[in-house]
Amino acid sequence: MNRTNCTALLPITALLVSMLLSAPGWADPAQDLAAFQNFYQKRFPDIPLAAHKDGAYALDEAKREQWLEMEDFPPYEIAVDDGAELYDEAFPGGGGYADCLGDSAPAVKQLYPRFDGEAGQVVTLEQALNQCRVEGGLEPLAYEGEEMAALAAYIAMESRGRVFELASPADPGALAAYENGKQFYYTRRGQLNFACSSCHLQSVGMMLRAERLSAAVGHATHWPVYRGKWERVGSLHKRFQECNEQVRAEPLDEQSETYRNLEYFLTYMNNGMELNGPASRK
Amino acid sequence: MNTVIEPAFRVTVAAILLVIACGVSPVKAGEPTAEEVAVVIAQAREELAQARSLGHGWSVTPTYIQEAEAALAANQLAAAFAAAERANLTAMQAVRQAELESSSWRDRVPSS
Repeated sequence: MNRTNCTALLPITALLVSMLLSAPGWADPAQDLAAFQNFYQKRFPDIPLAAHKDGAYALDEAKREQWLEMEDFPPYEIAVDDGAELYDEAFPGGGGYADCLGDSAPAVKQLYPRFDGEAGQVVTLEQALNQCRVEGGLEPLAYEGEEMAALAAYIAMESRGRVFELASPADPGALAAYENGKQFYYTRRGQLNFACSSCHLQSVGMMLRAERLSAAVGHATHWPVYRGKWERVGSLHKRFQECNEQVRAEPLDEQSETYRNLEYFLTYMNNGMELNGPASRK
Repeated sequence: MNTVIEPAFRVTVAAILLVIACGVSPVKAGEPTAEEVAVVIAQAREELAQARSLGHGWSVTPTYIQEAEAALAANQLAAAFAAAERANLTAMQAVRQAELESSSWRDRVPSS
């Protein structure tokens, strides 16, 4: 092909590239965030976006009243107290969590998850807590255990009222992690062929048996959660596992790379939302 | 007359021989052998490994494999074969789901 023909193809190539980038699913994180939150504002024009931090209770008045009654004696209170005790534990190597987690400690939940450029991976609050423990000479806590849940519950309580302001994934590693989480979120899986988005975007607000399907725009704000069916406080990753099991997909381990990437994507989609954890759910 | 009776006679003899043959066989009519069951279980395991490598394992497949192996151990070959086939089918569907979803997930992303 001669130079004249190549030059003639340039506008077509540019057009194809711009069409690809403007097509659904190919947008950058900031465009994703705007479209994601806009979706819920259009879907529920009478409900302020901020109200979705209460999950399904923002969409169902009767269930909201029951939930508010339960919040009079919050079932996560014991976990918060246990977490406060754990938080104050001095490390054998000196210092404690307050010295390890940064200036705003213990109110740090709004800073996680974050992409660690040096490690080349997403770091969650739970991982940061274990990192502190190891550096301070303590054994790491089991991610699925009640001690970790208690510690996270205390930090969530202390972080109430803060707002998620995660930096937009920019470097290639952060973008790759974000895209991986995004793909997981929109991918149908399991024998029932459901994606996370099948319930929380496509069918949001509808009933699934007796449950109102909540908006994903409030899904990262309130963890950890005391869930009635668990009879304990558990993490967002435990909920990911439960969702996967419900659609008959094999769940992943808590704090697996894929779940951390999913949390990274989901939390970025919750940017600007107020933290209100820990919370109670049925 | 002979031309009419002879074919009927042959069919009758063949039927009797077939019944005798079925009666002395250690395998019931239509029932798979243990080797056939083992082959399908192996296929199911292979498909499941592929589905998992694509991040799409279904939780029902290992359950069916366990059921097939338990039935095989108990020499319940028909039940073992049925469970093994379910395992294989669900694992193949999981792989197909992964292939389809590798691109179609983008269609579900909201656009502004």
